[in-house]
Amino acid sequence: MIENVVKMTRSKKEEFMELVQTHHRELLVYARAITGEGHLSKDIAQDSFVVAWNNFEKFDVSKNFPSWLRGIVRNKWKEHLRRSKRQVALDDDILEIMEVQMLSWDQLRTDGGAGVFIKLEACVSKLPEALAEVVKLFYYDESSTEEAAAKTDSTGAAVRKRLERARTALKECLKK
Amino acid sequence: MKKEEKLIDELLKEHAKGGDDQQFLDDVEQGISEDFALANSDQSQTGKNRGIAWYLRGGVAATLVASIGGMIFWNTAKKEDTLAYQEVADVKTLTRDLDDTLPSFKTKEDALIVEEKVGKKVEKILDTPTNIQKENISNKPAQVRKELESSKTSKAIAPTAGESTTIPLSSPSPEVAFDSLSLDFDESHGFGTGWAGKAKKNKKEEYRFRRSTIPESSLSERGRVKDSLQGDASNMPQKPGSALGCIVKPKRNDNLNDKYTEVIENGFIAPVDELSSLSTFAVDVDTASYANIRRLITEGSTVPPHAVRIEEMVNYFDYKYPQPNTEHPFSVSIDSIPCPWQKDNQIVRIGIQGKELIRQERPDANLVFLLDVSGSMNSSDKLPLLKKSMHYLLEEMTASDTVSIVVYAGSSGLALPPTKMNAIGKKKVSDTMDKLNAGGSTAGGQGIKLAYKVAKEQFKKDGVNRIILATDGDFNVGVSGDEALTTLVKNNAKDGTYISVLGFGRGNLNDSMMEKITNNGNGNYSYIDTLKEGRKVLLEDMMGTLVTIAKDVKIQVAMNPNKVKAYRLIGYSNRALKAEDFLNKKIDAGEIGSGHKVTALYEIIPFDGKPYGKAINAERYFKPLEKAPNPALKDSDETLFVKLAYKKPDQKTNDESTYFSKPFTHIKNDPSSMNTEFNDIRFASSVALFGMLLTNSEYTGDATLEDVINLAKSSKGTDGKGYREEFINLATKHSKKHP
Repeated sequence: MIENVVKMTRSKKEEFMELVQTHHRELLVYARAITGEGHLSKDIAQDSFVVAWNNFEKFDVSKNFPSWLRGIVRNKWKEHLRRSKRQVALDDDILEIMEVQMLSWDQLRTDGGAGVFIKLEACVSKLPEALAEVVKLFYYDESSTEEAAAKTDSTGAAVRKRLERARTALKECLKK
Repeated sequence: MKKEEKLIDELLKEHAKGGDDQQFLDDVEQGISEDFALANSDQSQTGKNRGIAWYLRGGVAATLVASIGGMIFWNTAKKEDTLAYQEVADVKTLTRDLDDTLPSFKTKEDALIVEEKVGKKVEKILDTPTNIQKENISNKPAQVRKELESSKTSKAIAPTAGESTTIPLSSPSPEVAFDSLSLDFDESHGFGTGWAGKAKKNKKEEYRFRRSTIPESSLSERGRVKDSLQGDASNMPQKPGSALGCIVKPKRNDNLNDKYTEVIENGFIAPVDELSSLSTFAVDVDTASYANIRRLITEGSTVPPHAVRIEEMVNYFDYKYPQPNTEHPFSVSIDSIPCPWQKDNQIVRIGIQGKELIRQERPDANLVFLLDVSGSMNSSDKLPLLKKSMHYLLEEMTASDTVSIVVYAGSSGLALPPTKMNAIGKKKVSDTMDKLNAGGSTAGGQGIKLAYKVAKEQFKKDGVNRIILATDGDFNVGVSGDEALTTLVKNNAKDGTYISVLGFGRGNLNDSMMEKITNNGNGNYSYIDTLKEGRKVLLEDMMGTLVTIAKDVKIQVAMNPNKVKAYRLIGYSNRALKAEDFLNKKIDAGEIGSGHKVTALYEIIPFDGKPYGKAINAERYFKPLEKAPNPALKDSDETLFVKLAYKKPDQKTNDESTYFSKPFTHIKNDPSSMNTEFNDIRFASSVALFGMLLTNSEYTGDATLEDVINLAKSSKGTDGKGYREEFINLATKHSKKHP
């Protein structure tokens, strides 16, 4: 009897950890994007997973798990803002735009696809050379825009412009 | 970056990390393993920068835990095991109370779930932190006692802040048992049997895909193989094999996130026709660039050329200009010396001195401080420095002035409603400032709107209405993009509310946005890196900044082609106006405050009969460009003619500007006979030369940093405030690093 309980718990927790592993990177991305803070966003994402675990039994499996998590993250963030004794003034329009974007990324996985990171790789490889170059330097080699400018014989402003274009292109590519 | 772009930006950054955040996964796993021991998930937070509420909460909870521990120990010591649980049950009520006073995410259901997951919690607090991580404990009362006896109470009740909030709830229940049996949780990593069909399936597919795909697939699955550095996520080496083949990345330099707008150097222009004989620009009284460069050099960083705005460097220093004695609110002085770096050229200086108002004449002020209290403002060179610097300004204020404080970070709010600056009011400002704590991210947009609203409510018709924005410049919510902010600032300036921006800190400094906000928008921008600078800006300069005596001040210099072969405005490259803008009353330009000085330097190549640049002859179809010159003046000795346009502070966009002008004739001076009279212009030249060298200017000739230092030393003069000495030291320090 007790053994059964243990077994069940283990598999359930295991199951949950799989979900965490599947979704944590996207959730971290989301948390950073809405809070703009690296460290805090990590805490918030972690807390959100724990809340999700606590309410896991109530979660309707037919619903979108990451979307549910993002709701928790938003609440956590609002709660944090409230606690810091400040009025909440999140831009709902932006949140909405982000949610739509995230849902489309979720879709990449739920349709049996590979998930957004794999798709992103494909998209990056499709970028025109000039854009791919600055993306590589700035995001993957962590050069500053000025350093990237020096390496590409260009100017910081031009690099920033290219990054902007690259991001727009990638955003579009991920939608497809 | 637009807020909408944040997601893709973060996605790329996450991807660049190259795989699962194992530390994060471990933390979550531990978090959910411990959730039985946690009153609710909300209390498990262990982050930093949580603000006052968090500390309070931690403190209260720690006290609670301490007393509970004490009670339990006492009870146990009396060997009244059952009583211990009674006390624990009492704690439940206390915890609930705590939760009522401090808002949390917890739902009712959450609480119910927590109540079900009982028993364990007692040991949780009693255990030492190391034990908590390593093993789950059985729940028997006897065990409790044993634990207590083995680890003294002092140990048992000394959890970390995060753990201090783990307060036991409720009494033992049958569920207790499985925890003691789930010891090997952390070691298990096979994929369990499904409970949530769809999610499970997808997960598996994704898993398969990963394995067959490079490079995401090359990452370790949820294995427990731990990096030696795993304990510190920030030091974790990057995993190999990401799409673009980057492996280990150097840590980004703190300063590399500073954002600068490109500065393009003005070149020489030959005054060959009407248009090219005119040089037009808006005045700039900002000094931020110099303070920023000083900070960079002092801390041994490289100075990015685009951080250098020569006019702001030159304007940082005090030069002696006469007070205005005409109907105009400022005076204009012009002088010249041989160019220190090109012996055949001349340096012409145009100096503007705004009228000094004595304190009693100062109109009433309505100041709204807009303070960035986001997490990034936490370091000692930001918010704490601002707090100290603000006291200088308070000294200057009187009962007829009002001060309000708006804070922003993630959200924005009115921290101090408009308050009269009598003794009580000043105390209120101090108290409010002391209570402020940095935390949260930045919602500059909302904050700035609220600040303008407050300023409008308190608008003093004949007074000074000004927002003083103190930030490290990271606006990222609401009014997004430099453009929208600039428009907001501009429109409010039209209605008479100006803005001053105080820049703080490094690494996150958005120099470009702050410069843009204040450039067109009738405001000024200062960078504060030390308390000394805080005093200079808030006390010495701010009084001038506060009282605008002229706005939309434009300068147009007409060069006499018979005397000037070519000319070059040093600096002011992002302040250039079109020649026709000078007479256009609708074109915005810089403002001058009481006591402000503005200095502009021209390098002039004297006329020698030969054309500037490459000699060409296109006369077959093109007539020489010059049209109907005024021979009387052109043939006079006059070198150039300075014209000024300005508006009074209360004039509107459609009101006509006031114009006046001043001719100037260059007199040849022998450099060796230079007396102290020329110290100011020579010192200004040394600062300009330093700026040119920092930006790798193509016009420096053979000049070196050595020349900068020598020139500055020989023209230091009395230097009452020691700024020039500081400049010499700065240049010396820089020259040692770049010999």
